[in-house]
Amino acid sequence: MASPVVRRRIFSGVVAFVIFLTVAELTGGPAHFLRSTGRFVSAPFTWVVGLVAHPVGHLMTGALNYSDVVAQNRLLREQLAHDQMLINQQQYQANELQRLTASLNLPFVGTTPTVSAQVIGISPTNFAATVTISRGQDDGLLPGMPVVGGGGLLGTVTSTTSHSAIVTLITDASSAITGEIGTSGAQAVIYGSGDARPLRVTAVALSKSVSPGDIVSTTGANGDLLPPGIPIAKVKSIVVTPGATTYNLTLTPLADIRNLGYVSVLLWEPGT
Amino acid sequence: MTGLIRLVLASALMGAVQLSVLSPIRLAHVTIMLMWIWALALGISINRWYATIGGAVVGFMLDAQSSTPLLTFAVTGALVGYICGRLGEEGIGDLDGAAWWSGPIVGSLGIVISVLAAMCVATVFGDGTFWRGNAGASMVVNMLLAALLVRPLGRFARWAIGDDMVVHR
Repeated sequence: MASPVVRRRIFSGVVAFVIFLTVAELTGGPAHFLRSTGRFVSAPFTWVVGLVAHPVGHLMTGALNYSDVVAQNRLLREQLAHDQMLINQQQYQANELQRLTASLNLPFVGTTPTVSAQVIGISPTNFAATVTISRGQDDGLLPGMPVVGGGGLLGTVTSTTSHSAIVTLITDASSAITGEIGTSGAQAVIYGSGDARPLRVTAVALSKSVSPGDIVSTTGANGDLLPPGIPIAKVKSIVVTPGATTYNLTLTPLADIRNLGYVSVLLWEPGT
Repeated sequence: MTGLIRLVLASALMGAVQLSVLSPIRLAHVTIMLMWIWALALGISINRWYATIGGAVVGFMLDAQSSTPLLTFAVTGALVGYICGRLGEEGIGDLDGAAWWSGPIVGSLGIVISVLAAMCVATVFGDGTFWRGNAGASMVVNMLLAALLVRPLGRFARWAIGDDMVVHR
């Protein structure tokens, strides 16, 4: 028979566990509760370290790369002026496109509302290719929504909080997207291979004509989780194994995934 | 109890340095995994249980910010801390009796174990993608860093946590 002290401890433990499960269930499941609690508890520590480390880091980076910073600033000013002119030109074209899109009944091109977001963090490890962005549920973001920027598809929203969201990039090893290669009509699944690695496509029929430089875009086929027409990547190389009836491809993402500042989230859900 | 509180605070500080300073940096496309080096340093400088708890605390902070299955890094940190603590308690690579070069070797081997442990734990938790990532590069870069940092971090751990809990060999 256990002593009263042991029994009291067991009882307290059971009560604490039941309270934990209840609170966890009310706040969206144990995993979500533990993750949120972990973020809440670690936030003061990361804030303090960031407060000390970031200005020192910025000072050192600025001092070491001063001439680069000045040159880059000049280049960006020129680019900004050029882009401003393009925006003015595109305004007219966008209106035209919207009119044509409506008449052609295309579901995605130019009509889907977007939300711009700042990239506020990257994956803390090498084991996942993700970014954290500054918009969340309160801005209408839902898991599964496509994220674009820098000339192409970046990834999809995988989880959200009120004011932030985690985006799994197309380079993540768990990413698999259906795409159409160039004008060949070949459809294939594009797999991520991990951070800073090219994308992969396997088993493309030899009868389909594919060449390096072809652009791969989303298909938007029935049941697809992404809208049609979003450019994803460019064919980098084609690997043909002797005797095989298919070939494999490596692709380069069109967006510069390593230097993300701002992204756009398409407020698109399958079936809309 | 005071030692435990100091351990948790020091580990939280390491977790914060990992998240705020090191995680945004990529060295040869690789993230510097201070969390593992910290667990290894605790193992060779304090004792196996402190290393287990310290590894779990830093790992949990990383878990909270990652999209990988929850507790993957906490369990990995705890495992690595425990294994390295056992080695340290046997006098292999520890700060007191072992040769100066054995600590870095234990640190480097600890990184190999850490990466493999992370892959196995993630697989057990249902995420097999760890095997397809940059595990090889991550191992090489962090092995070098562990060799350099494991002894200084061990000294820091003793300074921060105190000598009371050090296992006498």
